[in-house]
Amino acid sequence: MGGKPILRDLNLSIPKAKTHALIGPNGSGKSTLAYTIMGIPKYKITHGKILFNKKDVSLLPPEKRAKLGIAMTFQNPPEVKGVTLSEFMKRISKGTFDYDDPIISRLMQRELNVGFSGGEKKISEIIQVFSLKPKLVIFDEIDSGLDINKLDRVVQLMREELEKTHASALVITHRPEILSKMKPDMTHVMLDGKIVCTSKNWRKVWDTVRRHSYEKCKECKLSIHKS
Amino acid sequence: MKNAKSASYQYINHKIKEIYAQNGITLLPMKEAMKKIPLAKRYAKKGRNEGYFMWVKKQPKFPLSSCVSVSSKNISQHVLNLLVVEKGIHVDMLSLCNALVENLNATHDAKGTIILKEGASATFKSIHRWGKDDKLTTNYRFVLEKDAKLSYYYKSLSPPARMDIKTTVLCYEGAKADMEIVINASGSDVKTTDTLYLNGDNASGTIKSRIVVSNGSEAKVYSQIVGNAAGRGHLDCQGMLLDNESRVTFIPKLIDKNKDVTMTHEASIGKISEEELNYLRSRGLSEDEAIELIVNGFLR
Ligand SMILES: Nc1ncnc2c1ncn2[C@@H]1O[C@H](COP(=O)(O)OP(=O)(O)OP(=O)(O)O)[C@@H](O)[C@H]1O
Ligand SMILES: [Mg+2]
Repeated sequence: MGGKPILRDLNLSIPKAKTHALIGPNGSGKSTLAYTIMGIPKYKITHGKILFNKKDVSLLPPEKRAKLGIAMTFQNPPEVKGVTLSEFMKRISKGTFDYDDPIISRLMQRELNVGFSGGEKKISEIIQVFSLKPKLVIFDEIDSGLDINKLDRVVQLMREELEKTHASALVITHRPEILSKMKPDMTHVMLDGKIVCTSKNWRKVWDTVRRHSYEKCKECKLSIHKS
Repeated sequence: MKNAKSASYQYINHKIKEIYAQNGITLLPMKEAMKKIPLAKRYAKKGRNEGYFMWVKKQPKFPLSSCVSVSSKNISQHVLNLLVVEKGIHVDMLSLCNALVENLNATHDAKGTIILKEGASATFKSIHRWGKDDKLTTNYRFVLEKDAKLSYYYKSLSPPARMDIKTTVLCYEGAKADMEIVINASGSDVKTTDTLYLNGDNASGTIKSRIVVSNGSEAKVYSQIVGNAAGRGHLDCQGMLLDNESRVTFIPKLIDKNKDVTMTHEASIGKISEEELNYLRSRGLSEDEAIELIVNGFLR
């Protein structure tokens, strides 16, 4: 990133139809990993590669990766003036979508993300991303800024869609609620651009982090790669 | 009755193709009107005998339209239009000027005056579509008498290599004018001069310009509001640059000649946001498609 290495020695693989979680302190590189997988041009890979369905996508631009089925929800999606969410959805969507939801219908008529509240942006992200019929979705802090009822609704939507389409997911979060609801098959901890722990039991990982700190994850023996 | 018109003037090269108006509207070729109608005589200009004279005396049911085109090579049009709308009448005018194909080397030089009498109102849409090698010069003047209202919209999405357009609006007491100028210049030299005069108390108006430049374009946008009376005016200029070979210069001016006038302006020039571009690309749009979407959104 601008010549500064952010991610190092990173190995992560998400099997088909599985949901993985990624946690880690602020600035540890979670979003950077998401952008790198998505192919955002300013995040350059200096070593290694990204395989998607056995295909090396490391050199593909984001739109090509999107066409192959990689999608992400942005932590802070930008405002795009002059196009409504509804028009944009029609443009990108691979199928029909109809959400019987008053909040969504209201957002549909507004310009893409313009003046959307924190929670509204998340809802807009979710419906856009699922309209792409993705095979892998990275949710970058989809749960932050959502009230508890909205969180339930969004998680329900995520689970339904992922199940229906057998898509894989990477859920980036700072909160245990979404983990308890999504029940990730695997949880990874990122520290200073490295994955320092990978465990099947998100609760144990979370307990360690809460009782001690993320730093502790360097030494603890929970990780399947250490024991 | 989707395409119904209350008056229609169609002109190609140097010939009238259609001239039609409903009862209550006088529509004549300028050449003829200059001889018969004193009002037209007053606006006559030497060397300009193309164009229309339109006088709206009864509330029209449908929009009015004019379409001036060029279809052959090396045509040089010198147009003079006059539109007069009587008291309290509302009109919707669509004015289209274009070259039907590229590479005609046309010259379109148009002058016009639009008079909105007391309490009259108009939406005036002017759409230009010219080829790269055409030359375009326009000079339009709108006179808004007491309490008249104008909403003016000019759009050119593929300007010729050289264009110079001038629009002047005079607002008298209580009159209100909103002007919007939208230009997407690619490889063009564009000059626009937009002036709004607040000549009566409570006159008000805005000038909004949206200019996108690419492929070595150079746009100079002169917009000014002259406050001669206790009115309100606002200037809003925004430019977007798509490459480093292009340039936009905004020259906004607020000229205050009355202590009770309120005038404000905002101007900004920027590039396409990298963040927006990447966001749209991550949703499957190619880089060009994403730029197009952002540009269209900006010009909308
Ligand atoms: N455009 C950039 N320029 C410079 N540094 C950057 C840029 N983008 C990210 N970084 C740096 O890279 C590091 C990782 O950032 P990243 O956004 O990936 O963290 P994160 O784990 O997602 O944090 P958070 O939990 O706060 O969202 C941070 O130190 C950040 O400041
Ligand atoms: Mg982040």
